[in-house]
Amino acid sequence: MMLTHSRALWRIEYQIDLARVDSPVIPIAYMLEAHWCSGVRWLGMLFRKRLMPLEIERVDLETWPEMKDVAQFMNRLFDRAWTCELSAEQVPPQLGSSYVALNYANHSSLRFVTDEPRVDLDNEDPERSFTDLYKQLLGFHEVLSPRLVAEVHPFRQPKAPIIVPRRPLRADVEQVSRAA
Amino acid sequence: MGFTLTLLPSSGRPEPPQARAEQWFHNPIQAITVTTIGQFSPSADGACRVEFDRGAVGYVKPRQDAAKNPVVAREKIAFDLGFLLGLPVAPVVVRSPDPPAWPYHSALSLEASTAARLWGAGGCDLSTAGKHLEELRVFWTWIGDQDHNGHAGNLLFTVRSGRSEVISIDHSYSLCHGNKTDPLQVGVCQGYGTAAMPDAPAWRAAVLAKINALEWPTIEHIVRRLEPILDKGEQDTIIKIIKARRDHLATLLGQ
Repeated sequence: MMLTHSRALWRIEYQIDLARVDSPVIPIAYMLEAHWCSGVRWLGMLFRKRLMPLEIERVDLETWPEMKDVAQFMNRLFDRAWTCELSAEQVPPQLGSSYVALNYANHSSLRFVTDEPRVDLDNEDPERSFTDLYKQLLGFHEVLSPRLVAEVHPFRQPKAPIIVPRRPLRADVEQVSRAA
Repeated sequence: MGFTLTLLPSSGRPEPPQARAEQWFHNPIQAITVTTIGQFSPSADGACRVEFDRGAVGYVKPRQDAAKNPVVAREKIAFDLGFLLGLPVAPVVVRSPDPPAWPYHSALSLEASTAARLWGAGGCDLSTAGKHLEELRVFWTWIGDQDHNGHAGNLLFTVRSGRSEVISIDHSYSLCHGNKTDPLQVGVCQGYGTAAMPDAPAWRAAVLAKINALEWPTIEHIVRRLEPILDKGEQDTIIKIIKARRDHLATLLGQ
């Protein structure tokens, strides 16, 4: 039996200065959701557990106090998306993440930006897609790496060779997912 | 008595928001080149984030392929009237057509804050934002706005020194939004939960007095000067709406 489904991938980021196009962006999280007509639903989120001190300094904490504890904030957004009341009859099925994203759209420093999910969902047996969804979500770890980092100034006369990391800083991330 | 005018070298930075608001108020239709930096929103008219003037950010609506559209005039008139009243309304200017990409006039709204959150994200403190919100409610009622009845995405705020500072955006559904027969068809705006605040009657009375003190030729000029995007009939309809609603504003608000 062919089923229809909805899916969405959201890149969650914080723009340091909304009024400047060249202002740096702090990567925060990815949220991925799939919802089949049969009622099967999968929601996952990969998010940074903490921001670097240099990033926190640039966040407007008066306006965005939740960003002091980004992990707690992201968990709350995940719960809100998961517990969102969705119509059972709507075709294609509604997505909880889309409702949450409305409050973090254009004009907001913390933004949900749509990306294209690169997962082919199995309409016959939705549960077979869970692994692919999970895999895609984990694949975003690298993209969540901090972009605002302090400049490194080497000593003039090093006594020992300087070890330069071959890879950029990796974000300390956490993932949360639920399926029903 | 003579004076010397010294021209300072340009810093290469865009104009500050207040200076731009004044400039856009006084020069309502301008040729402004924009570069789109996002996708058009799926809303009725579609708005797109754009870059203009050396890195400034704004939103243009409607979509490039949309035909000549009264939404442009409604956005512009709402800002101009809000500006006259000193209310926190995001600055808007009308962009001249820029074919082939932009064959018609469009409205460019300025991203005026460095940091902001939408009303729907929660956290706006009514004890500090209440006055401006109630003043805006009177203003929205005057211009027959139907999209600020608690709408989560049409109000921004920033917190500065513990005070929530609001900015009204998106006035596409104003000036009775397509209704050409009854200027009073749109009722009182519900706003954002300030109508019953203890100081609300005084706040309403003050802004009502400001609205009534605006000189009618100035208001009429604000509409008539948009002649390139509004034909005579459209101008007359909008003027009729603004006049009738101002005449009945106190009654609508129960003042």
